Amino acid sequence: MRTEYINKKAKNISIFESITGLFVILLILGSSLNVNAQTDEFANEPVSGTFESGLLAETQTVATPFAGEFELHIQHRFGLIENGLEDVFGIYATSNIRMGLNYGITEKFMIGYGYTKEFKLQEFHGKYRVLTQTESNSIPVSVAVYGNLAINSQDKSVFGNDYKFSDRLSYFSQLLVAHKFNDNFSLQFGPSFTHFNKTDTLVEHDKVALSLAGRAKVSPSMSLFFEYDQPLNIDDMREFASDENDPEANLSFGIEIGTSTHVFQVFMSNYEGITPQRNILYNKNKIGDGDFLVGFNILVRF
Amino acid sequence: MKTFKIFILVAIALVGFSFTIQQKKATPWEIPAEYKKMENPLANDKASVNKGKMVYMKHCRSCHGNKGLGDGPKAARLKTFPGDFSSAEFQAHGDGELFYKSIIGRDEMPNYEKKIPSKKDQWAVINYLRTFKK
Repeated sequence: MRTEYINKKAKNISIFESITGLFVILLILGSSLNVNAQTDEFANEPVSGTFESGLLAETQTVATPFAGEFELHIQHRFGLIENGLEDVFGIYATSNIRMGLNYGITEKFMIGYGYTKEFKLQEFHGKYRVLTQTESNSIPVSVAVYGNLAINSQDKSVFGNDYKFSDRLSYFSQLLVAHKFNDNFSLQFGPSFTHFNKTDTLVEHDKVALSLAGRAKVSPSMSLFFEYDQPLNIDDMREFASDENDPEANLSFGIEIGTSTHVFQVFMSNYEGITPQRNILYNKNKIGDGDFLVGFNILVRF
Repeated sequence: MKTFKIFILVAIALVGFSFTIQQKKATPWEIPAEYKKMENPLANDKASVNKGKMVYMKHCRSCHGNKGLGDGPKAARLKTFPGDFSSAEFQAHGDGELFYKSIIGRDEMPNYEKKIPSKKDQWAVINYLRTFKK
């Protein structure tokens, strides 16, 4: 029993280390490639277009709206594709939808509100861009912090006998670190922390997770992207002895089209919750089992 | 009945025609002196043209068209013809003048200082506009 636990822990730590290691190597590689970059008057300008928008599939990115700009988000997730033609790969299955509005208070700070169909989540969030990568890589990465508060607005009978308002609250916070390698390729690494005030029986209240996302342009307005999320199911951090309710990792991949006023993303993903804390803590769809679904995000700027 | 059909066809043609001639040619621009003598700080090389193409395809293409002929999908709904970037008249402008027209804008041509915040991107578009020259 004991060795099993140690083995498992080692496995989890090795995943963590390999992801972090990969990112560090890529970062160093990217910086070294850009050493001979121009030392012209643009050297200290912030880079543009690390990501097309503040949202990439299931994760936030370091991008924020411009000062005084509104962003309307429409996020849609169809059902799992597992039933094939019976429900046309999930299109006729139960779906989840989120609509949200973001506003750029300054170039670097945004706030927003959104609501998600599943669990009637009302969500308030904010993002602050601490650092922006420069053309000369004198600042090699863009860094942003993101936080949200979601209120489960279902009927209070859902929360059991000792109902308190705080049972409805859940939080998600994330540090985002991104590097734009060249005009075509960007990567982002993001450790996150999720907390629920009240969870289902034997589901942990806290969860640390890592996310890695990347985008490659294939034409001036179209790009391919991927995103991977790994919740850290580490025994030392475990609240309950059982690992039965451990959340599963997520892989998303798809295409993105960006125009002056719109961004469209169509992708496959394991996550169906849309709201990040819901995804991180409760995902039961396995990458290995092919539990994928089709999702799309539409963003309108005005 | 036949005359009625002809009448309808003529009416449709007239309505269509009246919409097309409504789009007027742009009046001459008043460009401030500082922009007239402004020099392009970005080298006109392959990298900057590629960058400019990315920005153009995202922000400009829908009105100005893939080849800068002013025939993009949104162009027909504009009151003013967006201009033919391949023409000798357009290409005779200095980079600073094109910068003012492209980034500062007026009337139906919006200001792009916010949407294209990077100075490098702004000048890269000007370099890309030069590739439309016939």
